[in-house]
Amino acid sequence: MRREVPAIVLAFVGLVMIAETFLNIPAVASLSRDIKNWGIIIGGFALALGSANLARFHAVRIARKNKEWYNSVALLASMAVFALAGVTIGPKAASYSFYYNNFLAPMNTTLQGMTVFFVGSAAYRAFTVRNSEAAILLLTALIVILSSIPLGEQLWSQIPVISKWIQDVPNLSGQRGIIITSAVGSMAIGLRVLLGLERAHFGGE
Amino acid sequence: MLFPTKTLSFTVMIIFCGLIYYSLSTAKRGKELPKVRRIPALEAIDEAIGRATELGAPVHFSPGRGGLIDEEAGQVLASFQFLSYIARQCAKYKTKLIATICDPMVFPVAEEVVRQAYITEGMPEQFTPEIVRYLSNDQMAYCTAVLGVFQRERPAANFMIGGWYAETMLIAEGAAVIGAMQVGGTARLFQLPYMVVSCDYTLLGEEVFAGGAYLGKDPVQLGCLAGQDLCKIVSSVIIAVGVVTRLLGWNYFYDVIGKMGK
Repeated sequence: MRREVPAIVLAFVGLVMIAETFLNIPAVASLSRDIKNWGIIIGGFALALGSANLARFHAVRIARKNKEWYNSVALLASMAVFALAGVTIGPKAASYSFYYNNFLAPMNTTLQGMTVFFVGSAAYRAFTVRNSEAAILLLTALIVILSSIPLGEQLWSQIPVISKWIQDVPNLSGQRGIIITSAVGSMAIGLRVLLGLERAHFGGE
Repeated sequence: MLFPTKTLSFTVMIIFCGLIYYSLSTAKRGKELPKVRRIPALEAIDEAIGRATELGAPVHFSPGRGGLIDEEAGQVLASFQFLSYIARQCAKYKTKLIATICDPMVFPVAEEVVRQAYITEGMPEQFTPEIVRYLSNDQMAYCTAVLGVFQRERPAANFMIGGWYAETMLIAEGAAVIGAMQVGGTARLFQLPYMVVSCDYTLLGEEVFAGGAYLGKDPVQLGCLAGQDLCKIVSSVIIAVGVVTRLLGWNYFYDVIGKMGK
């Protein structure tokens, strides 16, 4: 029963969602809206569960004085400050925005900025010519990069034309192949869930 | 009753589901099972776990930022098959596993998947709440936390399989910096190039969905794979017929398909 009941609920919810997508029946649309609202409520509980796991994990780290335990103190303190500020003054208050705009937003932007350097280091490793595939990758990347800067066209007027062909023909056809096969894969996993044959998310194989 | 604009997608869905169902029911009855081609990225999973075991270092797994109620749900469900397999291997070899989770709804499911994997291998005592860790549902906060885990616990194998977004590059390069062997996989087109350049092995698109069949050799999943192949053949035929008829100037087929999609 531990697996059968969730499988039945999952199949029912899946069928309602499919029906809502394809059938123009108001009752189905209304049921689907209700299910989505329940999903949001369950999501709230899941967030509480996750936060409890996070707090417990870091409390244990502090208690055991694990490596860099002081970072766990900072994390728990930040969690407490943001949670208290959110509950007491509300997320739209100026002082809450102050915390958000001056702490979280700059740190997020810094990390996003670091992506540029990581792209550079990954490209350096990938574009090292070790075999024919890597050579093709390097040549293609070089043409596409050159086409996106004025220097490319100055070097050879055909570079933007070749770049456009690369993106419109081999690249696009490859992308469409991946999209079609991934959609079929998604459909297969969906069908297995509806039939109760997909067991991995219940802890089965 | 049927939305007129969705006639084509509904028809295709029914045909494809019929083909997949036929194949998996044939496989369930024990008829001839399809042979799965060699997928290097899937074979590298055991190699990466073996490497981590030899080094006495942990294995890291993440299903990415995709959730259970968004468009990446299929990939996340597929990633549980990998998590289950990796957890069983880690339990078998007594290798430390760290599964970091971004979406709060994925967290309890991932925890259950890992717990059951340890029970299946007869090692329930090895399962601890520290294995599956919810970090944050904020993208960059999750990235920072994973990078912190990499620096402190230095995993020797990193698996990134599921619904990945802009965090791909940061996490994959973070793992490359500490010298971890990496297997990535996603069906999200924009993240695939990042995975290809930063991971040692990458599962491209549908290979993510084929993992369960390849690793588990489950007849149902193998049958499903055969059904997927039939769907791909049908898709290829439709594309080929469309291209040829348009090139020859016969627009009937194109018009019929076009009307069903409008």
